[in-house]
Amino acid sequence: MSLVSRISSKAIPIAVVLLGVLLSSACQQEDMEPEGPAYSVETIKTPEGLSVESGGLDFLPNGRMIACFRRGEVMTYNPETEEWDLFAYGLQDPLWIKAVSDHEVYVMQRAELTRVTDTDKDGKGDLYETVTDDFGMSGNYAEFAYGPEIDEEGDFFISLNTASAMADVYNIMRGEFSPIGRKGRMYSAVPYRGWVLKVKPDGTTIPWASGLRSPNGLELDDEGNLFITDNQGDWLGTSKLYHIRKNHFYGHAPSLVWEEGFENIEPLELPVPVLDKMRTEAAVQFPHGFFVNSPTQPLIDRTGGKFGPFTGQMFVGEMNHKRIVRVILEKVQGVFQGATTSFIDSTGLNIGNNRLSFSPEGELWVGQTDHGWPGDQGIQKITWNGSVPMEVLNMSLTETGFELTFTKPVNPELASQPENYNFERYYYKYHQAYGSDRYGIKDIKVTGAEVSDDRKKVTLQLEELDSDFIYDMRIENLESESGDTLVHNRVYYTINRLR
Amino acid sequence: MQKQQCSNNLYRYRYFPFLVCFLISFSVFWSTDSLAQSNTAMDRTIEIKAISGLKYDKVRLAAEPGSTIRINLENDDEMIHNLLIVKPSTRMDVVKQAESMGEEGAENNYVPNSSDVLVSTPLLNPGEEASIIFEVPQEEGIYPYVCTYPAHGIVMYGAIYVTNSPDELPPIEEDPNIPEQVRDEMAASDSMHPYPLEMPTLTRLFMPESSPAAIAVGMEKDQSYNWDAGYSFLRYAWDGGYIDASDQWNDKAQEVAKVVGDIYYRNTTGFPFRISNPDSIPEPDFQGYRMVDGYPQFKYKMGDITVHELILPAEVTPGFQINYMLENVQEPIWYMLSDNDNVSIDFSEGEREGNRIKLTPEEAKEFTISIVSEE
Repeated sequence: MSLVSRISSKAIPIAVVLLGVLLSSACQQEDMEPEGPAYSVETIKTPEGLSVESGGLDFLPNGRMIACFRRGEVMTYNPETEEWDLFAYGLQDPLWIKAVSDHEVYVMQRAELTRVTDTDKDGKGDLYETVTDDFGMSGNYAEFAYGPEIDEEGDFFISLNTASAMADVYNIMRGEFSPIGRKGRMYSAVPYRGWVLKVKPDGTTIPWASGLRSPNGLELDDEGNLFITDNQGDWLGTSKLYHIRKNHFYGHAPSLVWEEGFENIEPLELPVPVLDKMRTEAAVQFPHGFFVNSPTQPLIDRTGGKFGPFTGQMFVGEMNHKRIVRVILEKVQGVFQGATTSFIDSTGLNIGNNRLSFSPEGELWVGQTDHGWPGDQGIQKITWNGSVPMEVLNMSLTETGFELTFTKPVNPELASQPENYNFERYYYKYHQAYGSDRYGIKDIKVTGAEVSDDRKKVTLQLEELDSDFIYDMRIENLESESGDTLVHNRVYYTINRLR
Repeated sequence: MQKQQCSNNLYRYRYFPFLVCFLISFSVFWSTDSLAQSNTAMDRTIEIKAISGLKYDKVRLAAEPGSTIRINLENDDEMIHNLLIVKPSTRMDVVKQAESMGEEGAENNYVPNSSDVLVSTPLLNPGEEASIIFEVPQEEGIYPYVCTYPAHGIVMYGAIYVTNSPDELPPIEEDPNIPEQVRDEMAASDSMHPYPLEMPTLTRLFMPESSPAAIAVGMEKDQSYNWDAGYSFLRYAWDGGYIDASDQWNDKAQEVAKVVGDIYYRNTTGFPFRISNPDSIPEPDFQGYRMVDGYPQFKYKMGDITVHELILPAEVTPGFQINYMLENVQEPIWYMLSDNDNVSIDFSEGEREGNRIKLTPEEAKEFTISIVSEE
């Protein structure tokens, strides 16, 4: 094949983080808050003729970035020479890529998980091996497939999108068709739509967990815990990050049609309180609209500090805002829960932030897509310039409130005033309808704010603490010792369990 | 900055206007040609722009021998450019002469004192325009035009075909007289990829009359087929083109791709193999494919048997041949033939039994089925 395309290009720095830029961006839309001078965003130039609907992004051991795109191309990019090369082509709407060596990658296509290998080391994949295709396809356009994330044993986790009632199924399908599963707004007419599957290296495919709607992002932490995002819609009052466990059900009902023991049960006929009791709640909920509309890939910062002060925390892409969010997890009573806040808004970032990957240098690369939805096309990279932004580094539940840790010492006079911390709590309803209003909205009074000796922590006492609520915190008038204001002053904590 | 990024994206999809632009200027030029009354009248005015990326926006023109044309050059780039029309095959000589002019170059617009230069514009700064009159020679030939500003002439050029047969120009994407980069872009504009579409190729996408796990394969000689990875067999083959994926790759993927050409063969039997008993249909398990000289060699299992299936265009087209290699065959197998009008089927091994071929384990190790349209 002479499909080689070598296109030299130059990155365009589109965010020069000068004070003037910050001032002007402050006048823009509501969701474009400046994040201080700590991070900058550059757009990577992509080849002519490439529809940059980024489906997956990763780095090869040799330092090249590798990405897959909607029309089936898998391309590598040399950040030093800024040259693009074609590695593979013809894949079906690939939406995830995982590099295991310079010559071998896993790609999730609509139809299968595929290992693509460059056996003759000429830079082009020549062997396409099906790892698993043991799941159904109805032909519905929304039946996307995501993953794999690979655990320590070498097992793969993949997740399957449900189908959309905005379109029908094909005459010829792959896999068993379930007329019951065909019901609902987002539906599961063929096996394992709305499921997470575990795949052994030999291809053995194990249905792992159910009840997902649009699980467009997976991440394993260092202890082997699997996290998956899901998107607001039917059965999801708001978007979520789940801690996925074997045999758990996460709430989106139609996928239960493929659950053992449900052969004669119509999931949509089950009373909501029954389904509610069956389901496992999210680790973190992302308040809808003003914060997140459509979360994508979660990615843990394993850069060891190359990307700033958030090592060990999780970043999550967002489709509809010029935003990457940050997630701070902790375990309370054995259950994951925690906080989420903005990591970056605007500063030149596009919308459509579908895929994330850290380069060996510790830059966060972002692949964008639209794929017929609101979004953008392109690839950008976010670089830390070494200065520490004034942020809430950590938020942890205590018996009587929250302990906040900041990235820099706070001005103790301001930080010790309880009225500088405003809490509102609310919840989103679990029901079949699309989305949910916020319910139970209530202001919660802060009765105490105590600053630690090193001035990095503030312990808040709250008048009321209850589980199954989002605690939406807004901090006002707080500054660091040197007078920096908070870059992001709003943090949302999901309480599943009290201490 | 945001806007600029968006318009770049749009631009990527819009190479067609480039081509259309060329075609329009070309056709208008010729249609008015017959109206030319005398040599002194201007037969045609052509607008050319210097654009970013060291390019002219038009890279090929045609002119009737002996006519007179005016060329208006507009510098729409951020660099300095000129335009010289030179005698056939002298472009690189003129470029070298211009580059060796040294300090005098800029004063003389980088136009060398050479009989090879027929006509030239001065150097134009960004935004400037100039007009030149080109008395088209009587001799047919390919007359290059080129920017001789240092380092530009290697890639920034075009060709005027002085010809009485303007319909016989080579396809623009294969024309060696225009810059390679532009040729690639022209070819890529049709391919929907960042590279020209060359056969053989394959695309996994939604296809008509197939499971959603279809693989569309384009072969040489304008032959194509759809191999259904959901069921591990060839669904149909067609002649005269490949696929049109534009609707499927637009929006959310609600539309299946279109077959370009005529389907002359359809599989009417489903999975074609039978093992040990002509009535038992094995369940295939798709394993992937290996690229063999650009063609996918599919691999699937049926029980303990591994099948390797490579489909190539037949010597006579419309037609194709399937090369099978089976591993671990212990018992006789049968290969079911599809029922198509006007198709002839040939096989290298085995014995025909009605609508099927019986193969011994030995014969099944390697055999070929050829299917050729008789129309």
